[in-house]
Amino acid sequence: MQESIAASSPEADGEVIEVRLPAAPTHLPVLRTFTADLAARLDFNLDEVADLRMAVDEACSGLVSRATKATQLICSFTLEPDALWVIVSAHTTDGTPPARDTFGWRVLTALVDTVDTDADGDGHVTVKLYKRRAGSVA
Amino acid sequence: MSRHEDNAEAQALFAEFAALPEDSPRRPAMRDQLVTMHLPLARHLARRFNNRGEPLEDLTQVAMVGLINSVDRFDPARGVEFLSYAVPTIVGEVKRHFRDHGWAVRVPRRLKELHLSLNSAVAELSQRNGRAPTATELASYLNISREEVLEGLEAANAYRSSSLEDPVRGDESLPTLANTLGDDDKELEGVEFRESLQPLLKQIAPRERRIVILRFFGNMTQSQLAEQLGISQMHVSRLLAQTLAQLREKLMADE
Repeated sequence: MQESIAASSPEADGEVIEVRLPAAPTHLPVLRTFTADLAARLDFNLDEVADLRMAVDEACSGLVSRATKATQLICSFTLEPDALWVIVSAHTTDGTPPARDTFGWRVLTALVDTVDTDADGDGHVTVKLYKRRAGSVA
Repeated sequence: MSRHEDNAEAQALFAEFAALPEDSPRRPAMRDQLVTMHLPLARHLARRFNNRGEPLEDLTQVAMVGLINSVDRFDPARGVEFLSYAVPTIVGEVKRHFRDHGWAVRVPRRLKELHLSLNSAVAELSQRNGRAPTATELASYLNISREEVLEGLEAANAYRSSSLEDPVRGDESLPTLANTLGDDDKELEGVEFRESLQPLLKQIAPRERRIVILRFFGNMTQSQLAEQLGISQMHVSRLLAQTLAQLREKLMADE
């Protein structure tokens, strides 16, 4: 297994699955289930599946709570041979990325290998999650 | 035949059964006979738990398992009647069924069974490999298709876990919990937002609190937590997700 630090964005040739849903808490369960099923299909082990599910929930809950009215939450999943990128973004009222000195940030960094954020200055906030698959490599 | 005669017959049969050597060819038939003559008891006890959300058919089956266990474990030499041994054993089995098999939504029986086999396969494979298994590994271990495994994992989410709202009434499996909480707090040393987090953590049940601290600050995996707490990985997963949602709500309310 490679020990190199993860690239800061997905490989260009990775397969991409995009899910868009209204940025409202009622729709998050669908995304959680989708994430978990996708991860299990990619043969992440069950600990990693549960981690990804919670990480996506955490990242999206934060975005949704600050999302502007009637905006869409956009989630793109990029499939790499031994890893998964989940990039979630929404238009928010304050346009600032999640603070790093919080419990929420601690949760994200404990659940996935890399967490990164982005803000375009125009209200769009992006959270990038990267998780490697230990899977059967052990 | 009067109940008294029934009992006398059963007692005599049990004495004879107990006296047979382990490998006696007569044992299976006598065991069947003993089970069969007490079937009405098992059915009766199962009916007492009817209309509580589990099909009577399932309850009856569980009661039968309790009955068979009673027949196998009953020792007439101890001088108690079979009934006073069997009734609590059967009722215990049915109650355990309610505790272990509570589902939040109606799930087909096949999926419930799949869930049970998945749960034990996860435990077995985690033990063997030192980490949680993948869907492919589960499929090959259980000799079913990967699609079935995925379906079963999805169904697991409909499973009702012991609710967070449940009071932590003396969880026998964690006798040393109070003693170890102090150690868990060490994990929080050096955490910048400890001041704001600690009062929140104090509001959640000790077991959930411990899971949160060890997972997010102690860097333990869910499988490791499951092993340490003596519960399944899926149970840890549910507890963690629920607690996290609860904490998030409280944190947002504070903002």
